[in-house]
Amino acid sequence: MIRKKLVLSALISLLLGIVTIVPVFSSRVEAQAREELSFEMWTLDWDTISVDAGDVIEQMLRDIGIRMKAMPTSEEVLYDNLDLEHTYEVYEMSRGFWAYPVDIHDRFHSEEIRDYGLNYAGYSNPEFDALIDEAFKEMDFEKRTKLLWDAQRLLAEDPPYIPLFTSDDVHALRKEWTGYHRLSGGIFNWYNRLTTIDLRHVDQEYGADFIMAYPSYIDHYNPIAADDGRSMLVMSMVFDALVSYDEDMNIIPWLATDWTISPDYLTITFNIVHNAKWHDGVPLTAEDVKFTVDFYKEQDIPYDVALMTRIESVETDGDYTVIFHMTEPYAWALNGFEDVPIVPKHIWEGKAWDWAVHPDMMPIGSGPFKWDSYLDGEWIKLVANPDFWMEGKPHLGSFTIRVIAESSARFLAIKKNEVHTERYELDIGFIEAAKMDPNLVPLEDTWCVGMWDYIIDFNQRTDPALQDPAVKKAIAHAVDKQRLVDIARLGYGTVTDTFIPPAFFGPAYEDPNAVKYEYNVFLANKILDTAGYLDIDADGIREMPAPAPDRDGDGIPDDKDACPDIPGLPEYGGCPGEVKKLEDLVKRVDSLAASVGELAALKTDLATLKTDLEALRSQLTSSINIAYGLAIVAIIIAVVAVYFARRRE
Amino acid sequence: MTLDTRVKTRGLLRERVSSHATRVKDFWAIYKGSRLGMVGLSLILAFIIIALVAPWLAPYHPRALVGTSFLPPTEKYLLGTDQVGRDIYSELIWGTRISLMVGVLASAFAVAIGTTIGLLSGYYRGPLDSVLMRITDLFITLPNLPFILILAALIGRNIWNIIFVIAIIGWTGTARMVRSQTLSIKERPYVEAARSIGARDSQIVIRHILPNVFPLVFANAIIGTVDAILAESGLSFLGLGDPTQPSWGMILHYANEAGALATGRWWFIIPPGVCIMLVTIGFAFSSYSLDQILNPRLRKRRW
Amino acid sequence: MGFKEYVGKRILQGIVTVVLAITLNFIIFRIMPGDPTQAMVGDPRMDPETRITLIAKFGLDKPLLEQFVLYLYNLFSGELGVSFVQIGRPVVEIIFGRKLVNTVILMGSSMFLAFALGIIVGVIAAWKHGTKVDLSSIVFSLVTYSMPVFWFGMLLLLLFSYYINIFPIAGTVTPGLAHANFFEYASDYLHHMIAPMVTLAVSFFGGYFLFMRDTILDVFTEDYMLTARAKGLSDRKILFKHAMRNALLPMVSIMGVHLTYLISGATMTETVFSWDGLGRLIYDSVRDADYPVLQGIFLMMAILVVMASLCADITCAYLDPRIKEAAE
Repeated sequence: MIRKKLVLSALISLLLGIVTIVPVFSSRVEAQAREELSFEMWTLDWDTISVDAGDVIEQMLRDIGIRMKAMPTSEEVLYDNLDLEHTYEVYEMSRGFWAYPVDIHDRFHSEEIRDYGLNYAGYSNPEFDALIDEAFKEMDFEKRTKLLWDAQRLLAEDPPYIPLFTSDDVHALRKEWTGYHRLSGGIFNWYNRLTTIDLRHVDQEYGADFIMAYPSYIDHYNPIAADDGRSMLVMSMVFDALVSYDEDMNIIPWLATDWTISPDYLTITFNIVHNAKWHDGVPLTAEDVKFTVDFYKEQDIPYDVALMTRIESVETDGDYTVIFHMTEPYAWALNGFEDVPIVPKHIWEGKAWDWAVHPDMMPIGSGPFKWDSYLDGEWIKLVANPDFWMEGKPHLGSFTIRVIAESSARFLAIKKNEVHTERYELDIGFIEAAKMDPNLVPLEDTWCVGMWDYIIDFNQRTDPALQDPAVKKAIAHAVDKQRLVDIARLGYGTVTDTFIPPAFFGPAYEDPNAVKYEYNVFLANKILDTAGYLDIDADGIREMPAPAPDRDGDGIPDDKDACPDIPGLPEYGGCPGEVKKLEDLVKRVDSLAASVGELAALKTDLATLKTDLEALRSQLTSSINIAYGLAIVAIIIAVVAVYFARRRE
Repeated sequence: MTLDTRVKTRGLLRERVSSHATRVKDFWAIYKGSRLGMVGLSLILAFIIIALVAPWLAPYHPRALVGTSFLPPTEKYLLGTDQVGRDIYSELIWGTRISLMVGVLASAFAVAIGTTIGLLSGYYRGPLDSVLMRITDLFITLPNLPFILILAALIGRNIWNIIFVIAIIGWTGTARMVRSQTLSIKERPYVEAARSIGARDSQIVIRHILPNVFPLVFANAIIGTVDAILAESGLSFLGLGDPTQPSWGMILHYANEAGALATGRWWFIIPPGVCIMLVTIGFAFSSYSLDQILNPRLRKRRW
Repeated sequence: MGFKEYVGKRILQGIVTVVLAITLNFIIFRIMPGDPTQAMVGDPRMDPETRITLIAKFGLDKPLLEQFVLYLYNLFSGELGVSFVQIGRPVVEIIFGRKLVNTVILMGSSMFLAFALGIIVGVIAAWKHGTKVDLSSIVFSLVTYSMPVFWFGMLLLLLFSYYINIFPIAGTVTPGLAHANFFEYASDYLHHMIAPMVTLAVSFFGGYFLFMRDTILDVFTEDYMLTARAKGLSDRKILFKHAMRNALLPMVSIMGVHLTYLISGATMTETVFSWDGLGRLIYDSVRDADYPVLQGIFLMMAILVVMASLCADITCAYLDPRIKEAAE
């Protein structure tokens, strides 16, 4: 009788054991003897565009046998890894362009491979570095652009990231307002000073009160420390720079009326306006400009470093002329100056650069608007500067910023005319409603190419598969960028094919010989097949290629083994160069097909069948399903146990 | 053990089981009479069934992109599509599993922790009691949501982490209650008697205290499920939920981000909230009825 | 045990709890993944001198125990650290400003509203127990208890700010409006506060209502009620003189504990209604990983809750001698 009890409990434990352990083992069995093309792609969790695009990309890449698992990650974790740990595999999010193509240096130059460096992928190519270094010294636009094109093409051969699209800036703006200027990056942006001075009410040329909604309060009151979009917009309205941009992203005079560059490119002389005054009445002179630059250099301010390190010294010549002596020719000197706010010497002298400008006094600048009042965390009111040095500007009487955290609430506020626009571009959720609202400026009229460029970036340090140009090119061919734009931005985006997209930086940057990767799933699959990434276990995901056999018999594992130099074989003559033309690729594929052809075709057919089955299987093996299965089993066991216990009579 | 003792044990076991069975039958008879309780129970059962048959009930895979974004309810997509084009109806059905699992497990763990601490504290008294009670006070003073937010941000967004985090916030009520019950039961005469014949502590706890404590603990677990489900949906709504699991809170999160409120996409916002409400109402009603039945003082009243 | 001893004991317990809270606070933010120095002063834009000063001040390069001592020392001199996000701004300034006031007012008024409503409706339901009124209030309270706070807030927002334009969309006051006097300011503030306050109050009403009702009904079934009735007191008099007074006591005692739930509810409500308070600060700080601010808030809340429950318990003990007996 005791034995029966023992047998019963033994049976029950065995059952429980099987039910628990088998799923664990089955997942173990899944683990391949060989590694798969399976990656974790981090997306930025608060950015719906990044998350949505990530989900779509995951589905697209399944078509070519790559598992790219989209994982929304917090900004903190993501940037910790990008800045310091560098252990990520793939990420997909937007980096953001500067107003001028300096990103190609920041993102790919080997000197940016360091802690807090911007070359997250770890791409290192001395030839590329040399091209960029030369380009950044080249003051002639044509020559410089050609060098940049060469660099771009070099990058495309082994792309550390794939440019996808820009999230275009469509703004919800009440139709009573006009005078905005459309620049790349949006009608409201910190380098779009033209909008700031020209914005006005349709029925009221001067003095109208404009209200903009912000998603959160500004981070800085200090114009130099301001590095977030919200603070920078405010600062660009309150402080001036020497130059600014026009609609085609050309440099135009601002505080500086004109400038001359010496023939050796080492001296830049600016003449500034004569009638500029600080908001407290003190006149603005060349001394303030000199002070600002000296201030940056003395205090080693971590901003605008590229410009500041190339300035050897600065001197004034009279009250309205500033002369900069450069250490070397710098192609982006003028663009760099657009970023530097000119600060008042009589207030800032002797202070630390990041001094808490608030709440002692509201920042005193020379710009078209000045601080009137604010409530920390809630709103800021700027009023027009009556003594602004540009005649007849600004048109607005005041510019108020209201913080409304919820995107829905912001949109509702615009509909109710409580605010007139918001800081950033319209979320896709509101685009339909905005199009139908008769009180808003038609979306097409505010549409500007966005500065937020979305990319898929591959860490060159972690997975060897990500170092293989074939894998990256295949991924590039497998992504339908227009579909991404349609889903993630409801069509309000611009596909980017190159690293310096002319859509944003200007048509002059259009490279006729640019290397582009068109959407072509067939080609993507063939590239991976040729490179040896085959789906051996037919689970829908390709495996890494087998180590190449020593085909040329010299005992050295190198490139020659992939295409041994043996008479009679198609590769006779050594490894051919980078295959750029589709015909070459097809030829190689045909030769391979001769030996492996039918097997490969069969495998791909099986693979598609298996992907469907795998989807079903994944449902069954997900942890929640196990839990439910266990629950059912547990209930059955409990019932059986109770039944037996009662039967003990 | 001698044969004699073994027979006696089995006999006692038999008695215990059958007396439990009778108690359960009596309990069910009372419970059936409570209208609120029956409504609650049927709601719970309905959702459990939905959760179990999800793979066959849902027309699409919840993560599959099946249509254009933001479609209103149509024949093909009963509740429309979300911001990337997934079928909301399927997401809701599959989300039942997650909400139920998180709610039940988190509450069960919380109650288990609380009961253990309460029992230990109430039975052994002395310094152990003071220490445990101070720890309990500490956890009471911790604000729930911020603590959950921080832990979730620290240890990552995974469904099991969320269950763990909710559990370690919610055990304090049970602990206190179990402790006071243990204290009062300890003084009862039969416990004294058991102790005098030399019964071991564990025997006393298991045989005498636990069964008396169990009904209230069970009631706590039920109401704890409500808090757990609300906590998980709150977490997900704020954007800290597990992004790979389409829980109802996550759907509301995406709905909010995509401005469903401001653009009148009621099919995105209202159904997930209604689902959360129905499940929690189910547990709340059941818990209320349980309370009414189990609390001896309440039984004296008519309602 | 006398009253004084009870008070003493409770205060001691409170202090111990606060000490534990401080320690827990310290530990959590030090066991964060990654380099702790990095977390505190890791912002690359912070200039090296500031970083060195901060490291010295908080002793981040010293062993953990020394750090703890330094932390306590800084704590008692009122120094809570510097925010990561708003670089340079001391945490005390961020927390103990308008945000605290806004949250306290919102939480206080919602709690008061929920409390008052809970008592009133609880009394009515208990008085009329067994009738439809009773049943419907029970159902109502259970339903509101089960409703997700943020969802209810969103529905209110949609209904009363969008479709029917009664309430404003966000914020505490209309921006840029120069209020003529305090009264105008107060009424604008109140106008903005109604929707979030109602949201919070409704979600808390359930708990108070049920508790009140239960307690009153309990009192009615107590033995001394029989005596009271025998003495000829009308049911009504019993209700107001005995029942309510006895019921109010436990209510007050749970209010202290409910503070934590209120804070959680406030976090979500403040986010939905863009109410500039501590709740939203918590959420923003978690998103931005502004750990010094979070530490400061946690500490403050722990102390607040301990003090609140301490006051509640002492008041109860003062009013009802039985509790002192049952305490320990």
